[in-house]
Amino acid sequence: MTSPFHSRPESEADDVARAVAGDAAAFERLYRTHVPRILALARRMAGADSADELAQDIFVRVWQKLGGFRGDSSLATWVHRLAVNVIIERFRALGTARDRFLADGDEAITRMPAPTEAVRGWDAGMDLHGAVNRLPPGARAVFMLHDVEGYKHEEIGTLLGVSVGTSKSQLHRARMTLRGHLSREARA
Amino acid sequence: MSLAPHPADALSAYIDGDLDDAEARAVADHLAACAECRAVAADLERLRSDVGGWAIDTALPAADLWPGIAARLSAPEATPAGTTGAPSRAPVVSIAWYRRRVSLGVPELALAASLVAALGGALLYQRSAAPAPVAGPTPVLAQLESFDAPQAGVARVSFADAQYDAAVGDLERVLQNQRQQLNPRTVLVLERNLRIIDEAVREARAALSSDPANPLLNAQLADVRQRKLQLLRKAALITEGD
Repeated sequence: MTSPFHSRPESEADDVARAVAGDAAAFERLYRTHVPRILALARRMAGADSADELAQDIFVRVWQKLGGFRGDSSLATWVHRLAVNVIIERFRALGTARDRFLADGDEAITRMPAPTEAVRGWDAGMDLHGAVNRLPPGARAVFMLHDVEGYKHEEIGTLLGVSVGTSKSQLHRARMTLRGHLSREARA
Repeated sequence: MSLAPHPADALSAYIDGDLDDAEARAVADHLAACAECRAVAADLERLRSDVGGWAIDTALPAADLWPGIAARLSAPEATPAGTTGAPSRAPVVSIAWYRRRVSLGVPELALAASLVAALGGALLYQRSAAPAPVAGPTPVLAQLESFDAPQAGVARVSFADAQYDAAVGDLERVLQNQRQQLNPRTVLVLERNLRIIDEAVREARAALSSDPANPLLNAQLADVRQRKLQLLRKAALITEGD
């Protein structure tokens, strides 16, 4: 079994070629190399409860689309982008993206603290992951795509089927909601 | 003169550099006069910085996902890997049917205990710089096929030992040279967390010496090494900020 730690680019290219030809053992090696990063992405984007199942969906999609990988970017980058698309598709299927976006934003606003409630800063050791997971799905998707995965608002708008302005306002609301959560934890 | 309205959404756009010159000047003028919004902006910048390193996080499934994936690859609905047509939707196979109890040996348990301590401590400083944005908006499907920008996230370092050790060594030298700039309590916390991480790395390597192909141990070692690098980078950023 090839470990992520010891994988080498040339062997990965070989495994890609073999997997494209239908070699499941080669694809398993690719899976084991990339699953730690992809599972972390799925947990960030969708929460721990559905992350394992999403990771399965993602790697089945990688298997289906691997023939289109031309090596213009690293395989890790290609798989990451593909994974984001699968996760967003899931959001859409669950009705957590476009249709519920405005409702999500409204919910986030009601949970925002008034400016005077905030206190100076927070401890970086606080449960920031937990606070992010408590965001409404739409706001969490925008926050994760922009602030963690590095997508631009235009790209987020395309992915989620919302306007650039909606993406920007959702991002601000998500950040303000997180600030409120963390400030409350700091006072507790 | 009365104070202009609080910038609201524009505050996030301001710290992201997404405003045009006139809009940015207006927000800057407001911040100069409004301590409340300055505090909000500082918190938002810190939040962005704190989550920036998440892109390189890794995780392992509670149970091996491969059997479920393999079952779906062989299903007739699955499109063969070499084709480029529209993907067929393979039926979702519940992962519950193959979920099994995971038995961990002594090395894994020892490592897990160390990691719990190490990662808990390292949370104080584990987050690194904000990710580099991906250049240019492009259609999603086109991105999948042709984008060549580096993966979002902090600067990569190879985990080949020589390059990793060199990167860690460089950061440790920066810290050593700049440690007088840090609060003594911060130095204590930093050094304590580095000791914990080093101990976790040592134990992982010891465990791997007897089980070099163990994927859990390998992934955990890679993870804890990444976290050391992140901690050092963060500390170096703090000294630069001071």
